[in-house]
Amino acid sequence: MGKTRKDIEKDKTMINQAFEETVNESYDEKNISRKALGVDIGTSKTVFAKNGNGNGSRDYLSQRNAFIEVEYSKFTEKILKQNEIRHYRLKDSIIVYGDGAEVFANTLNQVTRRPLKNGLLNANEVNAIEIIRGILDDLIPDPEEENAPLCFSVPAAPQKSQSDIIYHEAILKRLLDDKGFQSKSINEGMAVVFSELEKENFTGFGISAGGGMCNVCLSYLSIPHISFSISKGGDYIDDAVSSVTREVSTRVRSIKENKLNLLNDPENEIEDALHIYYDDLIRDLVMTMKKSIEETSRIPKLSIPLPIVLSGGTAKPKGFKERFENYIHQVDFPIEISEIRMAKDPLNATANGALIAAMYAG
Amino acid sequence: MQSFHAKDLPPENDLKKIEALACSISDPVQKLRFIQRAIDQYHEKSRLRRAAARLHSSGYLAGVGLFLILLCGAVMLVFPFKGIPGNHPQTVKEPQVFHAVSYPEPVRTEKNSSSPRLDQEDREPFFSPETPKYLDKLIWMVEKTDDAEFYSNRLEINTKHTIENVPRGYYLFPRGEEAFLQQGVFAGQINGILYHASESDVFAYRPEMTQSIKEYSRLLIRYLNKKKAYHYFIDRFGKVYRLIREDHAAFHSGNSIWADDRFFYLDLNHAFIGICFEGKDFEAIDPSRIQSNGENQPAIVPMERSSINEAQLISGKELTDWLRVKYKIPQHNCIPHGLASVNPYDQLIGHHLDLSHGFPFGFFEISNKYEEPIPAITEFGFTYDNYFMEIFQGKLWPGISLSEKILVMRAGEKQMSVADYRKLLNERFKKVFLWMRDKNAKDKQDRAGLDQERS
Repeated sequence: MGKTRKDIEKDKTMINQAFEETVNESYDEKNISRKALGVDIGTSKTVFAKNGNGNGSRDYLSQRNAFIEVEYSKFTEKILKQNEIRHYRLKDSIIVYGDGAEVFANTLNQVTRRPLKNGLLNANEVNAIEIIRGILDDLIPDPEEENAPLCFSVPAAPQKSQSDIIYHEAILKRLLDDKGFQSKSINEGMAVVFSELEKENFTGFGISAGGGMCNVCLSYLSIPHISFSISKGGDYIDDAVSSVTREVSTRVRSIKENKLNLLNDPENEIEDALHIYYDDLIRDLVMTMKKSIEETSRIPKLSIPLPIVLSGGTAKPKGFKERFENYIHQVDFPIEISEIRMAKDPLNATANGALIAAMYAG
Repeated sequence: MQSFHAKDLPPENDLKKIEALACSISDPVQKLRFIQRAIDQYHEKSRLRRAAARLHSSGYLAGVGLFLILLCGAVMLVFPFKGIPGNHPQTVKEPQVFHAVSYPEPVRTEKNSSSPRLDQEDREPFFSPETPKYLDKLIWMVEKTDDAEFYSNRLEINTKHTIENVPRGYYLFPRGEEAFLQQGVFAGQINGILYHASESDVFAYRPEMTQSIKEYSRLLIRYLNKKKAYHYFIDRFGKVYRLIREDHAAFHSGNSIWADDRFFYLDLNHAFIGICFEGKDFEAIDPSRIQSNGENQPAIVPMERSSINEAQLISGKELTDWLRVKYKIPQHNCIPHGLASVNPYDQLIGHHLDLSHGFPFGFFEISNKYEEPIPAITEFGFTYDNYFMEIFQGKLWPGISLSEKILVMRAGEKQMSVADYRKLLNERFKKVFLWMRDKNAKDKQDRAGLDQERS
C-alpha cells in the first residue's frame, strides 16, 4: 500500500524534528556526554579514550593485554614494586600484566601470554578475567558520576561462534558496570566508522586490523549493514613467521612494529616471511569482504562510491594500504570504492569511535 | 546488547534529506545523534506500520465475519419479518468540505430580494482600493561589480549564483464575463511578487551557530539553484541573492491562482517574481501526539513566531521596493505564496502554506492580503478541506469568509444555489486550466521543433 499524503508529511516532519532537537540540544546534554568514555579492548591492547581539555581533543591511555606468571619471591615482588610494574600475587606465583609484562618477559627470555585470543576472552587461560579486570582497573578512572556512559568495543562474531561473543561481551560489561559505568558494546568496525567517516555521514567501510583478528563493518548513515571478522591478525603473522623462521614471536613482533616496510623488498628471512603472511592476511580479508557483500541481501541501494578506512596496529606498517589497494583492484569488488585511506590515528581509532558512541549514548 | 543495530532505512528521498541536513552539522556526536534520531523515528513507525498490517490481515476476515453476523442479528431484531427497507437510491458521499459562512437556501424568486447583503466595505471593491498603485520612489543602481549590485535604497544583491532558466512567456486571462472563456493572451512581463518561506530546517539564531547557519544557507542555495526554484533568496543574515535572472521564469509556484482588476494569473512561475526567505513559519507536532489523535490530525501547526528575522524583512522590503519601482508592480500583486497556491485537481486552496499566516504586510507597505478576497474562491469556486481547517485550528483568514460571502451574493444575483454556482465556476476553471495546459504543451512542442530545425 502506498504512503498517504499525511504519511509523507509525517516522515518529513520527523526528520525536521530530529534535526531541530539535535541542533538545539541544551548544554546540560552536551556536558553529560563530555563525561563519556570509550574503550577498545583488543587482543593485544586495551586503549582508553576520554575527552581532552581542548575543543574536540582526545586523551588516550593504553596497556598491553599481556601477562607473565613468575614464581613468587619477596625479591621479585620488591623489584616489581620499585619499577611500578603492574602485578598481583596468586598463591605461589606473581602475575605480571600490562606493558610491564612485555619488558619482564624480554628480560627473562620468555614469551608473554594473552588474556584474549582471537579477539575474545582466552578460554585456555584460567586467570583471563582477573587479568582483564586488573588492566581495566588500572587504565580506567572511576566514573565522575554513577552510571556515566562508556562504550567498549567487541569484535564481530566469527563464523559459527556466536555464543563465544555473547559470553565475552557479557563478562566485559559486567566488569565495567561493576566499576560504576553504564556500559554498552560497539562493534569494532563500527567504532572505526564513527571515528573516521564523520565527513561521509558515517557511510563506508571501517576496518580494524588488530592483534587477534580483522574486523570489518559496512555502515550506511551510521547503520551497520555488514559486519564480520576474520580470525587472522597480527598474532597470526607473528606465530606463523616465528614458526617458519624459528625466531621467538616477541622478536618477530618487534621487527614488524618497528622496521617493516611492505613497500620495500625484504632484506632478510624474517622480513620475507612477514611479507608472505601479510599478503595472505590481506588476500583473505579482501576475499571475505567480497564474499560477504555478494552473499548479503541487506545492502542499501548505493548511488555513490564508498570509502574504506584502515586502522589498527596490524595495518600500521608502511605499504599495508598500498597492498590492500592492489588486492581490491585485482578482484572484481562488488561495490565501487571512492578511496582507501589510513585512519588519522590507527592505533586509537577504535577507542575514539567507542568514545563518540558513548557520547552519543550519553 | 550492542548500541547500533541494522534498522529499516527510510525511502531514498528521505535519506537524501537526512544526508543533506547531516552535512550541515560539524560535530560528530551531534551528527550521529541527528542521523540516529531521524532513522530511529522512521524505524519505529515502520515497525508499527508492519505490526498494524499484520494485525489487519490476520484479524480482518475474522472481524468482517463477526461484524456481518452481528449486523444480521441486529437487523433481524429491528425488522423481524419485514425485510430490510430497500430500493433507496444509492448515495455517493461527497468529500467533506467546510465553509466559513453558512449558505442560505437557493433564491429563485425575485432577483436579489432575499440574497444576503454584503456590507459596503465587503462589496466594493473586491480588490484593494489603491490598485493599481505603484511605489513612487526613486531607486537606482549606484554600483555594480562582477558578483554584486548596489542600489540607492541600501539594497545589495549578490549575483554570484545567478543562473538562467527559461525565458518568461505565459498566458494571462483578461477579466470580464464574456472574455472569460476566450483564449488567454500571451505575455512576458513581470506582474507581481510572490513571497515564499523555504520551510527548511533552521539552526538556533545564536552567535555560536554562525558557521552552521552559513553552511546550511550555502547548501540550500545550491539545492535551490539545482531546482531553479526562486528568483531571489534572502538568507538568515539578510543577504539577498539573485538565483534566476529576472527575465526568466523560476519554478516557485506551479499551481497558483491570483487576479487583479485586469487579469487572472494562472502561471505565476512566469508572471511573478519569486522571493524566498530562508526560514519557516510552521512547525511539526510531536509525532506521538499525531498517532494518538487519530488519522485526521495534521502533522504541522503554524508557529507562534516565524523564524524569519528583522534582517531578512529589511532586505525583503528593500528588494520589494526596488522591484515594484522597476516593474511598476501594483501592491495588490505582492502576495505570500500560501494565499495563491492551489490544488487544481481537487480545486482546493492552501496547497502550499508558506507565509499563510503572520506576514508583516504593514512593514512592506502593502495591504493585508489575509483580509482580502481570495481569487481562487471568488472567481473559480475553490474551497478548502478538513485538513486545512485543522492546521489553522479553525482560525481562517478573514479573506476566506469574505470570499464566501461574495460567492453567496453572486449566486443570489444569478438565482442559483451556492453549490450550483460553485460548480459553474469550477467548470470555468477546468476549461481555462485545460486550455492553458494544452497550449503550453503545444508551444513547448513547437519550440522544440524550431530548435531542432535550427540545429
